[in-house]
Amino acid sequence: MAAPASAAVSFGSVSASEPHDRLWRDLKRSQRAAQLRAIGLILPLVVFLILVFIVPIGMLLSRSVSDLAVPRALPATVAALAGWTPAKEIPPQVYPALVEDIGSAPQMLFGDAAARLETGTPGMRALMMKTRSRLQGAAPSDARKALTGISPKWDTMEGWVAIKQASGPLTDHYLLTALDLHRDELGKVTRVVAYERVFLAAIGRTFGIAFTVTALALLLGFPFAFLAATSSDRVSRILLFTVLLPFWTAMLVRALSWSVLLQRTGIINDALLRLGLVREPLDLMYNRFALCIALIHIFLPYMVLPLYSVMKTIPPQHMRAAASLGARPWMAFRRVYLPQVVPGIGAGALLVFIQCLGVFVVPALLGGPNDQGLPYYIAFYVNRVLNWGLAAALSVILLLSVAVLYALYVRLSGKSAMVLG
Amino acid sequence: MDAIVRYSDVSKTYDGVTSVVRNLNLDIEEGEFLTMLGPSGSGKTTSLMMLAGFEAPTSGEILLDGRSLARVPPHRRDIGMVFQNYALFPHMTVSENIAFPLQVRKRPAAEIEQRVKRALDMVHLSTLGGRRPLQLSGGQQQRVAVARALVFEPKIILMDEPLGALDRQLRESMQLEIRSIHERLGVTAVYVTHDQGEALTMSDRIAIFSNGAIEQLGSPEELYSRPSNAFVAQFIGENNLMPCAVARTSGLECEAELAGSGPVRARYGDLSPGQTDGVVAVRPEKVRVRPKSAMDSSENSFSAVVEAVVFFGDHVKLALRLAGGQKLVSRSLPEDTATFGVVGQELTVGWNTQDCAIYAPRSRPAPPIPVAFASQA
Amino acid sequence: MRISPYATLPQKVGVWTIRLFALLMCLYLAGPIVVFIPLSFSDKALFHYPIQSFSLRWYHQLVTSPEWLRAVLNSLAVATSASVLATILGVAAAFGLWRARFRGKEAVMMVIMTPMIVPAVISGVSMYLALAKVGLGNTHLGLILAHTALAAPLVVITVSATLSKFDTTLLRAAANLGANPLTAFRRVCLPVIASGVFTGAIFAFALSFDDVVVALFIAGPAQRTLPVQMYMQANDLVDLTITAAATVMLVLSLALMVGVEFMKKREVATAR
Repeated sequence: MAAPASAAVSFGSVSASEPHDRLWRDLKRSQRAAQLRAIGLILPLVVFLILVFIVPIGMLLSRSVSDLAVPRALPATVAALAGWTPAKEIPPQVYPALVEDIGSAPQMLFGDAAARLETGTPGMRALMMKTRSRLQGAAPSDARKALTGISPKWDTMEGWVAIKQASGPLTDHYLLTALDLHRDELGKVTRVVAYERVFLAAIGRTFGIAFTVTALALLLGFPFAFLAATSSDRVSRILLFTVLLPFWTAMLVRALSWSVLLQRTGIINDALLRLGLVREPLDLMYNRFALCIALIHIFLPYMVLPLYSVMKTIPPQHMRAAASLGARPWMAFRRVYLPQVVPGIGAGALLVFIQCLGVFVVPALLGGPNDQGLPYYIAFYVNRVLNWGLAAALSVILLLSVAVLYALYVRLSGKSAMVLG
Repeated sequence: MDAIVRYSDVSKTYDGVTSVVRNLNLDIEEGEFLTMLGPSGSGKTTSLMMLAGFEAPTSGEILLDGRSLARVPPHRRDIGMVFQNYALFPHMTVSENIAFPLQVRKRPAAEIEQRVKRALDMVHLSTLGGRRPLQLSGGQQQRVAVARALVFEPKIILMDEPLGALDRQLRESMQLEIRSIHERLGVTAVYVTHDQGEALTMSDRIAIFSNGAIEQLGSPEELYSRPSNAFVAQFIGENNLMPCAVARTSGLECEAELAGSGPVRARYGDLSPGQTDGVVAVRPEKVRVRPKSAMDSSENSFSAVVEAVVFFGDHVKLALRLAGGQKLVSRSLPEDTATFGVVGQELTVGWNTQDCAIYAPRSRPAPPIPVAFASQA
Repeated sequence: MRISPYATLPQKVGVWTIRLFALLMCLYLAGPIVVFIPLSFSDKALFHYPIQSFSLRWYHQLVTSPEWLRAVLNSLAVATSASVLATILGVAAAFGLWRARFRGKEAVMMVIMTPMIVPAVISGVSMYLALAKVGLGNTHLGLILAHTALAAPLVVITVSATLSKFDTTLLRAAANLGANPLTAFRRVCLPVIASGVFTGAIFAFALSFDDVVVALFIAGPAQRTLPVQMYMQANDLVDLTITAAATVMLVLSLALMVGVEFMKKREVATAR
């Protein structure tokens, strides 16, 4: 049999014989086929999530900057105002343009535009509606006289500035509002008047509650996890079970449990009354205290489980070694044990913090009006006021906060998913 | 032609730069027990995996019974295999594991039952059919793996370091058991290991791999007594290798000079014509030691100093230094060296010309050769 | 925590303090969860302890009142469908991710994980907006799709975790013994990773069954799930059906938890 010592090797070599090339190609093709099969398995979920989840989120967030209600309803007016700045005279052609727009805009679109103008400048909805009903589809020869006759406001800047600022297609109005800011008549960004400042306070409150809950959860969770990690198997199992129990119970059920406990007619008040400690039932619900105690209860597993899994990996020999080297218990704990647990602390704290930022049901059931965070306001502007732009702007802020903290969590824990244990 | 497997010019590269296997040509004969022996990274496992179908040759082809395997997927090759960690299915019982290859071949239930029983008997596990693999000891798992690989009566059985996970004593008894199963069934066996002792005791033939190529192919006796190059001489058994300057070659013998110690005559190894640098290889048990005063009748005779004495019970080893500084080890019966085998003692060493050979020097395995260069070699 | 024989008095006090702390924590963690169970067996229509006499009237109410019964059935139907869908999509994707090597795998992973990170309110509002646009607002299908999206990442995570422990030489062994790729997958891979798949499915079911916020936005009155129905009734102090519903949910959660722990045990038993 032929066994040439210097047989050609096919890779990229000119002397490669034909069948070898074919083999190499086959190999490449079969590898590619396997890759394509694998990608074909991933694709359905990715496409599904993009369609059902990512695109909807994008749609919501885009509403925070898109501003189409006014240009859709009042295209001529917007065009007439195109080159105008509040420093200049009101251009005369805007009056016939507005009359024309009011005459031709469908009821729905006009209503949307009026609502949009109202969010920027209070009183605009009434002005627009009044103007429309007075005009009644007529086309007066002197548009300016007709409009100023309906309301002297059309002779001043204010109404035109409002339309100008809402003439889209993009706006920073909602994002500014979400930060208690607005543009004044000259377009400068300023803070809104004191009684309208609500959102910065809401953001601060959201973060404040999250911080309090995280700190208290760490305070309670650390010794608990330490006990679970260092006790005998039996004790450890009992401790972990009491953590897993609330973890598996639906959040709603846990929130309801606390309302059973804390109500005026609830178990705690009942006990206090029976013991004669109080004369009247206490108001334990609908306040910050109730909210925090329930949130800690609900999110404690997210603190204990990462801590436990880190502590479990630290061999007890470390502390013994430190003791044998002459370190007192506290020193050994601080210098040897604590540094190794830090990643667990970080992971647990971030998990609890992130969950707290987004929690909706618990404050809704147990908190008072002054205990509601960003999720409440988002839901409020969607359900009650139908101000999608503002809800979207608040969502941007919430989502950004969560995303930054999540990125931190990924860096710290090296995990790409919020997995426990 | 009775080669059941033929590797024909097989090369394998993963990255297009370095070859894991280089131009491998190897015929495996029907019924033989062939071992691929070599250090890790020498290409032996890759060669086995290509035969099993888990790797594809980059070039060349593998023939089974004269037919190319290029387009035959692993599950159609009918080649049994015992994996390094046994790869027993953890969710199936021992019997279910062994029945698996028969079930996927759609054999009738009665036949399956009977053959599983026979396979279990063969490996002495008749009573453990209902156990799960994890409830078995390492040696028992190993036997299940062998039974499973043989139950569908493949013509060839491949074994990839099958005894690596076992302790020493178990390994030795399993070596004998595998060997006896091979003899009883007459199946062709291809065995991969890095343990030369295992290879020497079990194999009909051994292929020694280094850097993706076969250094030497032969029976254990051939490899031990007539290594074809310095690598094999060093890899199989113990050997003393001493650099020398080649003076003259004549026929099957050549003469050389051990610097500072004197001339040496040896068998001709793998020197190129005209090559002047070489290494003398002589096995410790071939080195004779005599008191300084005694005459040595061997062709090659040198004076040496004892540097260390190590007692092994049935034999004793002396670490020796020749006049020119060369170091070598001798191995002899304790009573033969009792009087003069003392540290610091001067004595005479010698060996027969037929017991030593001169090779081209290859101090350590050459680094993997890039494909681009290999094609010009 | 054991008391060492060399412990000084302060150390003994410390150990006892820690024991007391652990006991109080267990009470804090487990206690509130069970408080409504006795209430659900009361025959008085008041959120009030102590209970004078026991009855099953609230459980009867739960399965006979049209509103509550519909909520229970909706929850079961939606959670089952979403769990099945999420498991199919999630298992396939986990397999693909396990086998494939391509650039941008991290990005794909990010896309898959987003539903776990985005706060429920934002998910709910967004999907409400989008589903309404394509005519799926206030439909069961819309709710099932939304829950599938939220649950699929959980399945991917659990199945990926099992797969990462799966020994691929088992697939080689199966091929070597004559099994074609499909048979090898069905007879060798699937049974070994089954525990991961079941765990994922249970997580998905639990997520859908527990969700209030997303369902609150997406579901119309006809799709109202049990948690939504409970949320709507949360401030009703007279109708105690909600306590019966909560008890049922608690029992179901415990069953799912036991299921997952069982799967973990099974996985340990087959692991190498």
